[in-house]
Amino acid sequence: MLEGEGIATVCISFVRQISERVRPPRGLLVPARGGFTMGAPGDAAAQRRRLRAALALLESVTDAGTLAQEVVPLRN
Amino acid sequence: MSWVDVVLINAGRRIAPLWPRLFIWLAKRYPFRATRDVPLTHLNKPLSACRVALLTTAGLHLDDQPPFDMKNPLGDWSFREFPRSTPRARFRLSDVQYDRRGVDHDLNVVFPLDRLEELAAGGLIGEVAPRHFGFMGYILKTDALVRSTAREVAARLRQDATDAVVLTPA
Repeated sequence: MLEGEGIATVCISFVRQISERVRPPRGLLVPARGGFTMGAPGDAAAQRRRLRAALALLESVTDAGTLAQEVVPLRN
Repeated sequence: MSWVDVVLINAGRRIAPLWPRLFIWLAKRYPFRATRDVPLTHLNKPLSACRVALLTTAGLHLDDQPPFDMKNPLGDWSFREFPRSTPRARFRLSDVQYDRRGVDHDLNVVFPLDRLEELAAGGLIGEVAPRHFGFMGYILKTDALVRSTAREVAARLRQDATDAVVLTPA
């Protein structure tokens, strides 16, 4: 709907099965659970990193229906 | 979709948050709207010049807006509008089925408006859109969503000259 109106979209998702069925134009699959899509409460750095990763897809995706997996940095 | 499906899905969604495997089972049977020809709109300017909005399906509303109708077995396809400058304390969560402890502590876990503001201040995006939008995630009557409310939200985003939208479920 939005893409058809000339508005680019990116959808953050934490359930692969849903994203593969719905096929958003650009999808970012993240390791999260219901109610914690952007990460832990109060963890601004992780939330920001996740949002940056989603926004980056707006420029990098060239094929409709691309589902990217978030790269989570290793903890020391 | 039959009424048997509606009843099963309604029963399942109430206990699914307690049992992740059931959630996946439900997700496979949920009547998601199939997309054959996936559209793709390319940005016509750098991201650093774009106006970006958020759209969440977390079931958020403001304190002066009605909560979403969680009792309708077909879901609620209405939307709520959130002006950019809305004080965060005015956000409320409808009687959703997912774990609400994160949202109660930090709105950004499902609606990262503060993070978007920070990225705009840092120059990653051009600016934050003046309006953002919220739906609830449970909508079986997707035809009504597409015919009416999603179309209205798209029109408002265009009025605001919004270039891109980040969609966040919960």
